[in-house]
Amino acid sequence: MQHPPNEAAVAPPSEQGWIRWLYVAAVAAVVLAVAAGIYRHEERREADHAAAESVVIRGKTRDLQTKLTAATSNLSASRADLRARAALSPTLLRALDQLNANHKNMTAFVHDHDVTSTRIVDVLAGGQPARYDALVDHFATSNRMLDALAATETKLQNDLDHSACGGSCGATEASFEFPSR
Amino acid sequence: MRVLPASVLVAALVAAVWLGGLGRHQAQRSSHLRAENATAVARNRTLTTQLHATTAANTRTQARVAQIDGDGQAVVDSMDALVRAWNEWLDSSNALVGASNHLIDAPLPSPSVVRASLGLRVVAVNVKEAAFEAEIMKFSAAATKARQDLSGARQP
Repeated sequence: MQHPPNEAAVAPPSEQGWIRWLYVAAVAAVVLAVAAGIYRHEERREADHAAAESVVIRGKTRDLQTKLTAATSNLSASRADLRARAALSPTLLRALDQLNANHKNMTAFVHDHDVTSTRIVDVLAGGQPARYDALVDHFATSNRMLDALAATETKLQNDLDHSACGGSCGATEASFEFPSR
Repeated sequence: MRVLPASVLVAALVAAVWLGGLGRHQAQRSSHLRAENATAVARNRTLTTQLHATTAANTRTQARVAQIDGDGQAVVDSMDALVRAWNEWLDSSNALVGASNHLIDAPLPSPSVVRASLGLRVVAVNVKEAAFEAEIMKFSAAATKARQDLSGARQP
């Protein structure tokens, strides 16, 4: 004896077609879900990468800002140094002018003094002691000029020392000496 | 027969929508961060340019300061040399005057003795005079250089 087929287990042909399409749709939805997962994964990876890059960039920004602040501070200090030297420049230039003028006088004095010295030797060699006294008088006069030149030079050297490097150049103190007569 | 694919379909669609939403959120976050990074990179570029300019300006300014200090020291050094040359000339001249005084205080010797006694001293005085004049020239050159460098330093 044959049993009739189970109607609950076997759908009619039209319903079977519909169920087939349901399977296809389910598979398509799974594929879509997987694609959405990949999309989400890739975007998250991109975002994480951008976030890591952002941390690095922010670090660089902080570093640059620190360096720029230090560089600006250094520049201000250097400019202050330059201004300080520029402020002393009129004094220095004046001292240099005066020193050059005094040196011209000193050169003339040295030359004149040496000419007189040579004449003294000539007078002594020529046996003319009377002319020697006149030349010694000339020496006495020139010694006063020597005092003035030496005093001016010492003062100007102090001015130069102060204006060239704020008095810390360690310039040798001028030690002028004078003829014995 | 119908429940399983229907459940899978619904679950997969829900998952796709949820994951798509998350992906879109991450895409927006990524886009926002990239825009921020681009702005920060541009700012860093500006900061780098400023830093280079500031560092270069500082280097130039320090070079000017060092140049002026060097000029000042050179002037002072040449002044020292000049004073030494002056003192040496003065010593030499004093020695000549002293020798002359010594000769005049005694009976005057013969011209040849006078020449022999004082001739070398005269030569020495002339040599010291030439050395002094050379130092004067060196000082003048150092002063001229200091003047030129200082005139540039008035506009820091």
